[in-house]
Amino acid sequence: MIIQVDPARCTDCRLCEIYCSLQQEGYVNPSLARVQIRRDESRRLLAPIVCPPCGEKKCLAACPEPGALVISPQTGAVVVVEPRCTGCCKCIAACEIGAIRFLRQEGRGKNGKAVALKCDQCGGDPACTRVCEPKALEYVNEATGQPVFERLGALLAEIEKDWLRRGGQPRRRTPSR
Amino acid sequence: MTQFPYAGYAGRYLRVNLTTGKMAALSLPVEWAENFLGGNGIGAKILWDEVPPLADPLHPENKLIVATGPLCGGLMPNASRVEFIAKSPLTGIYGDANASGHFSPELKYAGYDLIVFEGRAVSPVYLSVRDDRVELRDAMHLWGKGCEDAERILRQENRDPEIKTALIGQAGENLVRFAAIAVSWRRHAARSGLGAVMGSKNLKAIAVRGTRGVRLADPEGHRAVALRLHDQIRRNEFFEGVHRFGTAGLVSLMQPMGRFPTKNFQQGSFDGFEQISGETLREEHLVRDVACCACPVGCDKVYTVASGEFAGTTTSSLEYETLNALGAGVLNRNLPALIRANVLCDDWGLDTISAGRTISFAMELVEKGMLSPRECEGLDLAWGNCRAMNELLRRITFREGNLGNWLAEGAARAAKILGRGAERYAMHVKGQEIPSQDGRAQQSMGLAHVTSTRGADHLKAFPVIDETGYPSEAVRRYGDQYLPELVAPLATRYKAMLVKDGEDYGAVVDSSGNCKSGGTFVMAEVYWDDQAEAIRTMTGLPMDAARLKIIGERIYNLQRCYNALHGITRADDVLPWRFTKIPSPSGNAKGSVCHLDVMLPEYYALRGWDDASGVPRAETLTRLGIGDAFARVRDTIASGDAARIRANLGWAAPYTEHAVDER
Repeated sequence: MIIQVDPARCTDCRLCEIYCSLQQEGYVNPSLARVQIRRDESRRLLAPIVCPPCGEKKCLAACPEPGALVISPQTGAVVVVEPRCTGCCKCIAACEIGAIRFLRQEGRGKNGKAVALKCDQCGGDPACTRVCEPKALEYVNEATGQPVFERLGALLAEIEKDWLRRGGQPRRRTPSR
Repeated sequence: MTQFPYAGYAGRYLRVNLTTGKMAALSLPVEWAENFLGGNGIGAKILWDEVPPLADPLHPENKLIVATGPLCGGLMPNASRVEFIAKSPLTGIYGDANASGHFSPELKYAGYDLIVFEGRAVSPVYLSVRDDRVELRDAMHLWGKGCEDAERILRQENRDPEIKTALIGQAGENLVRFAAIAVSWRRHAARSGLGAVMGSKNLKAIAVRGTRGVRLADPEGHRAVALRLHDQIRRNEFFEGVHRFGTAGLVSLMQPMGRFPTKNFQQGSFDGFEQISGETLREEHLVRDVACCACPVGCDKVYTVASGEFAGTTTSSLEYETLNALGAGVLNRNLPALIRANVLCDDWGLDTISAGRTISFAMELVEKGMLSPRECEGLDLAWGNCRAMNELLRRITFREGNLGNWLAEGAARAAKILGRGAERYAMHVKGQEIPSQDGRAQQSMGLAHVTSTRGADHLKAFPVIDETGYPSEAVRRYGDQYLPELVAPLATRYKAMLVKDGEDYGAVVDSSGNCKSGGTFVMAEVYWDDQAEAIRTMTGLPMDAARLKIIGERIYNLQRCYNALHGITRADDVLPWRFTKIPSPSGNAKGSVCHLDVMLPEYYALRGWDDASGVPRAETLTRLGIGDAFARVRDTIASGDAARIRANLGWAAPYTEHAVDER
């Protein structure tokens, strides 16, 4: 299964982020959501960034910890196994669309310091697709999310271009908290 | 700091003294949440307690309260309103304005329910809030910038595209009395002129980034009620229309009713309405649908002009009110020019309603020969001259020349300054220009305009059930015993009840952080019980409809009492002559006038306000738990202070005498 993303339908209502964070963290905190919307200043370009997952899965190859990042046999999602994740950020750096986030928090991850956060498709019943009214996010049975991944990558490049064109500094790839 | 007993709230608020630069994060008083809920209610309470009636709105003594509601940041559909409360520079009395967008949840996620700004900074500053890091920073480089540039620069220099802002443009800096506050992304808290309060404090912007999130008292329960309401709104018969056209869809609906104010309310319908309708707007200019935070409706839009004189103009959300005030109100049928006007107002930070009405006031003075060509300083203020309109918006913003500086005071003050009987053409209540309804075509709206606590306004009571006469929603809310009059726009019966209930419920909606364009009013899916259930599951406050009704009534009465301290009485609950003396010339309303004389006594009786003075009675306030407010009002009136304040509010009272010659 993949999270199908049609960015043209997104309205930037952030309900996906809100419901995702509640489902994953037990409270509402979009900055910890596994899906996050990126936008240009005029909001002509909206990109709900989530791991579809893609075909190549560079994150898996980048992860140095055995069993910390695995493919779920039920859904096909790439899942962080939190007790094994050291929060080394290698997967985060490997993901070209920035679909994996970093959380520095006491008691999280293998070392009790930090962990990577990413979409695990809520184990097969995603909270985000349930509330996405315009159907920008849909949970569908498809073999590969590579086209979604590429679409999001192209859109992010456009958004970055807009940001730079308007005088912004290049953004950091790895968010720190 | 003590632990706040309720979830949903951040439990803290900021007090920022701009004069001294001192800032403090304080525990949110529990009684504020329990008795006034949040947003609008807590703001009114702070204003009542802390801003004395003698304070000038543009003096450092005035305070600006920026408040979220308990439902903001959670799951509740369309609960993302931020409320601004201060004494209004436009009316001189109680003032508030709110906007949706994405600012309010961000402030909650940063860990604050509200911010109270006091005093005045010596030079321009902005407040930066990043969770626990709160700083006042120099804003000299932002001063003089429009809203769009200032917002972008704040994101860029902080290297964070996720920053949300509330800020003013040049209109607020220049103390235009109907200046707005812009909220990310390009939504506006526009009424009451609170942008000028920010300007008077040298406060250019608030830039917020929050990563602390918000906890829910009963996540499963809250999720259940939010999803139920989400699905109900989705299935509502108006959903598709509201989603596709936003409020702009109202243009075509109001036209046949004769409720589409035209030519400064001389007419109730506009022969060019199709050129500025929501349908035309969507067909010719839509880029995409966008939404405020947590809103499944998405009535916000991005529009652009592809070709012609105004090519390249891109705007966010062009509302019904703007299409009327800068369209029909001034007889402008040029939609691209109107889109440009909207961009100018948004970027410079002007309330499009008051701006449009002030311009149509000036145009009518020209028509009636009361304003000479020389006084127009080279502008041809003929009806429908959209280029002159856009140039006038600029002169108002920058207070350029005598004309711009004069009209920057708003229609009601401008009328007083000019004299010559100009007050006949200032269409306002209590100093605030009347929005795009007509009490002759919808009786309840006429009543709502005069009983609103912030001067002429449709959103305090927001009577929509009789707007286009859909009985199904009326039956769901009030049962069938009030039909058919309740939903008949020209009937006066039961309208006092409708307006009172709307005001009380609206006060709660404005305090919980909900939006009136979503499920609470326009699509009447979210009512007292739902609101109570959402607040209860989000916060843990023991809330039910009965308690919530008392809170709503308490908030509204406190606002009325605050106005009474300023000498506002029943004598100010009036509409200009055009609504009560001149029969409507248009549509279904043809021949009708607004019967305030019938509805008002009924309204005061329902409210428990003194019929002669319009001041809340002692027993009413005691029942609402704010009995001490009565003594303060009584003493302020007895001392003569109230009358003195009233005499110095600065605007000409609406002209209410018998019909004058239309010439």
